[in-house]
Amino acid sequence: MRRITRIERSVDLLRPRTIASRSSPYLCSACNHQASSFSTSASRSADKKLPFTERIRQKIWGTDQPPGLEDPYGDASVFDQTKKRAAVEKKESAESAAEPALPDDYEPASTWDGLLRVGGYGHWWSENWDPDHQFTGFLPRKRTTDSEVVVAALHRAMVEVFALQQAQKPLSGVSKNISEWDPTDYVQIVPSGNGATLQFSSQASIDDILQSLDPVDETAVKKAPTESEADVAADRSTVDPLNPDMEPEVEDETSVKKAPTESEADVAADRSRVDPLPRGSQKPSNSETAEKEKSTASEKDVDADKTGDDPLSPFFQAKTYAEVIATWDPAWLGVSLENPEVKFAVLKRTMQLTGIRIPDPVIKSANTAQALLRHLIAPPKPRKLAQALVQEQGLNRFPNVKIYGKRRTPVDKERSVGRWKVIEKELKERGLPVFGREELAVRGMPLFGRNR
Amino acid sequence: MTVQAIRKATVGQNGVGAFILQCKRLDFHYCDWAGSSKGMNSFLRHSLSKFAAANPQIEITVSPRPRKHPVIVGHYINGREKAICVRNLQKEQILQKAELLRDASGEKLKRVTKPVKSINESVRGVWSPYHGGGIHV
Repeated sequence: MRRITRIERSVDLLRPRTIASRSSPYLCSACNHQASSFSTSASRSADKKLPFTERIRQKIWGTDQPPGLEDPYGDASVFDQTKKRAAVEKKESAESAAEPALPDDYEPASTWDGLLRVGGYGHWWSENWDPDHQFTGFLPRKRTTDSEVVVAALHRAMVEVFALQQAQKPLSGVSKNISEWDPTDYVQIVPSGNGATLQFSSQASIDDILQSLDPVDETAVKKAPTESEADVAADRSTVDPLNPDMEPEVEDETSVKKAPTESEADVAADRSRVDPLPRGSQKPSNSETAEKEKSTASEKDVDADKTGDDPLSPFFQAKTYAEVIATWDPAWLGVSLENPEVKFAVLKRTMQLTGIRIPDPVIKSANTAQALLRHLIAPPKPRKLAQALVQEQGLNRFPNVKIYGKRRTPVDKERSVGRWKVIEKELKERGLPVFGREELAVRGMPLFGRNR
Repeated sequence: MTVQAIRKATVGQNGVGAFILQCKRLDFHYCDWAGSSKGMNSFLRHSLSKFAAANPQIEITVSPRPRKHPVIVGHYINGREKAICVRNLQKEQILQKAELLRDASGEKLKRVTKPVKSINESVRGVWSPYHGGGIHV
């Protein structure tokens, strides 16, 4: 019975006939096909470096040495480029093939100690990922959890955004700089129409806020190394440091200099018109407040001479966040965030200040500051039912209900009826394990039932 | 003649004059993770406060029992206890079980064939071989 020949693969069509013809004539055609499978490696004929035109000519004439010149029109032919390239490549390969001369004292290594290691990552990680080149993301690493700090951050973000809007500047500039100097505490937000207007006080003008958002001016103020230079910088800046209200503060700054922090950054911070502590996490402590008040009291005479009015201006009365928040008109929570541009800028700034991520559903649904705040200061969901029962349901308010977060063991039950001490004492007297067989095993004693 | 006991003026009966609930404590055990505790967790979240407020004379303890089915255990003043596994039950069903345990007496379950039972003494009294006139054979 005759066998049906194998169907040729599609790639077989690509193979030149020469391969099949070169294979052994003693094989059947099926074996020929199988033996000469498709290969991606360069064919042997490529090594001959014969130009394409030459090969065509050879085929046309049917001989290896066709008559006539290779190219009667000189070197200008495109095909001749292959010839030149082939010559260069040949030369290069010959050069690379030549072995370098070994020094006289060369001795082959028998172990790999001391040899140059090739490959691997090497010092790549230490060079590219070392602590000096830390990645700093847009959001701070630490998430703010204090609700009052979060409220203050949202207020700050809104004041800054509306200040930019009022100054007709691009709202994208709101997140360019986080200055320690935060004049927004003294600004009231009043809802109006579909937006809000800002009510500036004598302590903070719109220029102060715009300056605090500007990274260039901020550094100019911050980098002030000496008092004289700081004064120059202050003069250059748009803020007016020689406000009548600021007079006692200058005196106060000298007094604070006696305090432990004497770095120039602190001096610059003191010069600014807000509490010197960064807005990050810590509130001004009572001790510092007392210290400041004390220092101002001691220099009261000097201040009185200079200014004539009360030296305790609101700037250096270090306030807690709760006190600052209490000074704001609660109407600011009802300010509409319908304008998508404003909303985006506020969200972006709030996230930058607090480190709290705001999910898309909240972004979509929160159209007022209050709604946004509800998400921001929401306590995290309790992970255990026992916590939820206490926190959400307040079940522990019932005198007859007890909630335990952990499993009640037999020991707990004995303890609750006051029997455990007696049991423990008796067990110890008899040399028996108090908490079970594992204890015996730890002490290297035989377990019950093993010796029997 | 038979011995006459001292007649009691009254007989203490639970519910006559005062009713003392036989169930003194209910333990609710749940698992935070397992799906069979879903109804139990829902009961604890939503119904337990009402149940606890309605039954102030019962001590209620809630504690987890990880990797186990949810259980309600009732402790009775006769020293016995009853446990009901409430796996995969809805919170309404669990409330029914809790009420069942609350109302139970703590006694073993018995088949009641004669529903009327008297606690009054027999009129004839208890027979005694040492009393009364002997029978002369």
